[in-house]
Amino acid sequence: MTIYSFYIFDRHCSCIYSREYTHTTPGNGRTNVNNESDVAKLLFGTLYSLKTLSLKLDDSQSLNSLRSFSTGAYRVHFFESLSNFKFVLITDLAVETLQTQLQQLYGVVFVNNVIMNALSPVEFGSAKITNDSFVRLADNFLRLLPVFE
Amino acid sequence: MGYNIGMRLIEEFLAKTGAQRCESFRETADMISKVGFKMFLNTVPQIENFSSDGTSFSLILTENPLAEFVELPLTQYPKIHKELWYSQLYCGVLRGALQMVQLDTDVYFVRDSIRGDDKTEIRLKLNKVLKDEIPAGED
Repeated sequence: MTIYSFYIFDRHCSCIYSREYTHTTPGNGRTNVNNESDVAKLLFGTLYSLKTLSLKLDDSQSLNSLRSFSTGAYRVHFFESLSNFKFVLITDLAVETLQTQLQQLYGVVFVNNVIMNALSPVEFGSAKITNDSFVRLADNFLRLLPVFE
Repeated sequence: MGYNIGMRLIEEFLAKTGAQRCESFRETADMISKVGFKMFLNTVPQIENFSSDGTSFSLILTENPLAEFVELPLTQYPKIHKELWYSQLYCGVLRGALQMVQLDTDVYFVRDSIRGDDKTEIRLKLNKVLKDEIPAGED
């Protein structure tokens, strides 16, 4: 089981954080290099459309949300806060669900280190999350999950 | 005033309560008074005067932590009693917080007991429910 990468999108559809994890080389992976790339844009587009379409299939209008989708090679885990921050984790197929973990990541790590941090903006514009304590704690949080290998 | 506080406050609120989306504005009203005010100010304002179309209501603050030890000075300037809303901060906070959960609202004071009115009343009016933004250049 593996986590490949992690993205955060804000309310204005821009990618404010991207993180790739390497598992073979001893390096740490890369932070915030993919924000403007097609990968991030396509990922956002896919999730956005999938979310809209899949909610239309269910006409009960009750509380419903997109959680994940998978292909033959990977699974994409999705959590959206009510304030429209989107958290996306890409893992391999063996990882079944990460909903509670994503919620914790939002509620504990993100809110405490980005939102409650007076030096960090809440409207990012074209800025990204470069806040060291967030990067460190988010990394720690994900690395300590049993699914991260 | 207070808008930026509201923008951040709502995230803390969502993280701590794990609240789900409200299905009606009435439910939102309950959430604001019974959960939001309770959590941040430890007071539960009453909800009154819901308009018939369900898009506006008043919060009646029985106690106001912001103005607990406050008296407006008696001066020669009558403006202080006519134009100053001492607890205006609430309006911005509520508007900012609701905006972040896609509710575009107007929030304003109607009465304030430190001005000598009988109650402290904040009016909330829902303008519209905002849609998700879509990326620039796409339809």
